[in-house]
Amino acid sequence: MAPNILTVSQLTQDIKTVLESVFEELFVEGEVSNLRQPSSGHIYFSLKDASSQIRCVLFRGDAVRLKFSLKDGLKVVCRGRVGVYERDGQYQLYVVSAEPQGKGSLQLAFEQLKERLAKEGLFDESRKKPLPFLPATIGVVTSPTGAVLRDILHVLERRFPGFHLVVYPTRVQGEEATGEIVRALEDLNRWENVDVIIVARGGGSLEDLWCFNEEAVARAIAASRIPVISAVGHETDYTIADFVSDLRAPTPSAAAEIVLPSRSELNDRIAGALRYLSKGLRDWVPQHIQRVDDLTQEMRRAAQGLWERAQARWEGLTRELEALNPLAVLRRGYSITLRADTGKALVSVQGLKKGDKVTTRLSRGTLVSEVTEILTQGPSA
Amino acid sequence: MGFEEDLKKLEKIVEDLHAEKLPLEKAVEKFEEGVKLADACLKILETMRQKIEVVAKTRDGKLKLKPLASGEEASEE
Repeated sequence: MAPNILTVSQLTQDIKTVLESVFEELFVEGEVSNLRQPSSGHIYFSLKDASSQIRCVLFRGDAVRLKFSLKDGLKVVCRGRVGVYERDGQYQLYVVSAEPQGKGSLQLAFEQLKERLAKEGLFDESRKKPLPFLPATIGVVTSPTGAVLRDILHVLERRFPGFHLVVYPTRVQGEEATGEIVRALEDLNRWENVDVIIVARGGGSLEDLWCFNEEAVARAIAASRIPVISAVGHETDYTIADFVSDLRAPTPSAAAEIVLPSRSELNDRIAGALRYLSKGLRDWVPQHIQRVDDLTQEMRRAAQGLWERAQARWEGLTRELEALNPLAVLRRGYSITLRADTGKALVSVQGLKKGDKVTTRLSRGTLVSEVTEILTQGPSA
Repeated sequence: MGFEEDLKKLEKIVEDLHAEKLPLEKAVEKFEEGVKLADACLKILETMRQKIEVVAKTRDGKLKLKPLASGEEASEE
């Protein structure tokens, strides 16, 4: 009987059929080595242990679903099937998913992203923006339903009646949450009126909080020109968003405590300052006024003296003038006679003739007379 | 808006006045400045009105603000 001769392709095809029917679905543990990821996006590596190794392929479609990054030396459990690559006559493990050994893939992904972003400098203190002291408008990115928003409102109402809040509702859990949070941060940054943003979520498992560990969210927070406060989960929960934000608040309520000062404290501070100033008004200014008063008194006294001296001098001068006033003589019974035509005082009869008119000025009144006789010699004085 | 600067300046003035190292004319000047600052701070506080708004999208994808409906915040997740 002639031997049944197979072609290489037939044999390979037979091996493929046998292998693929037996190793349909399996889990393999091992250490990653010889990892490479060409631009195609598929990942090629080997899994090995102390004495053996097997080639592995992780196609791009499955690779993008992996939260953490495969790295040489990493111990993993891979799920997949065995297949044969006919061209090379090579059997290999077609990996569908992988989990790091010893810890969850999310935990590992968290650590890997944290390390990478830290290296990039995204968590540096020098990048942190100062928070505004009294923000006129506060943006909040969170779920519109649930306790978180209510807690924040409650604290703000107690601390600062008069706050202005803009709530940007997003999902905070699940596949769509990441994109929505990124979008909210971008939109609020385009809004010129928001002075500070709180990104908030209540407590939950690492899976629940996962979107706050996504690189896209971290990058959106880093890119925000508006300061961001992260307030995700409970006090013990740390997310990538916490590291990259300008301030991490342990809880959403704490974020509300931090974001605005207490209005009554502010009022007290201003009132305290005003009280001191008005006390100053009572103390300093009266002192000032007292001095002005004293000066005024002094000036008044000086002025009084001046006045009195002036008065005395005036009276003296008046008396002197009075004495010199020729009219004063008239009061004693003398009179002055003037020529009516020239108005000149007459001291002699010379130049006068009968019929001339003369005016006589008395102490009280004036009279006009006509000369009726001229005696050449007056009565002796 | 300068609220924090104004408040700090105000408190510095009080401190300086308290130290009583200033000559009288300077003190009176500082006093006047302090009263002005306190007034400015109080005015800023007085203008702050409580408002809670929610970002909503219009049908053409534009964003707008609408007041937070009462009850929206009260429901549990």
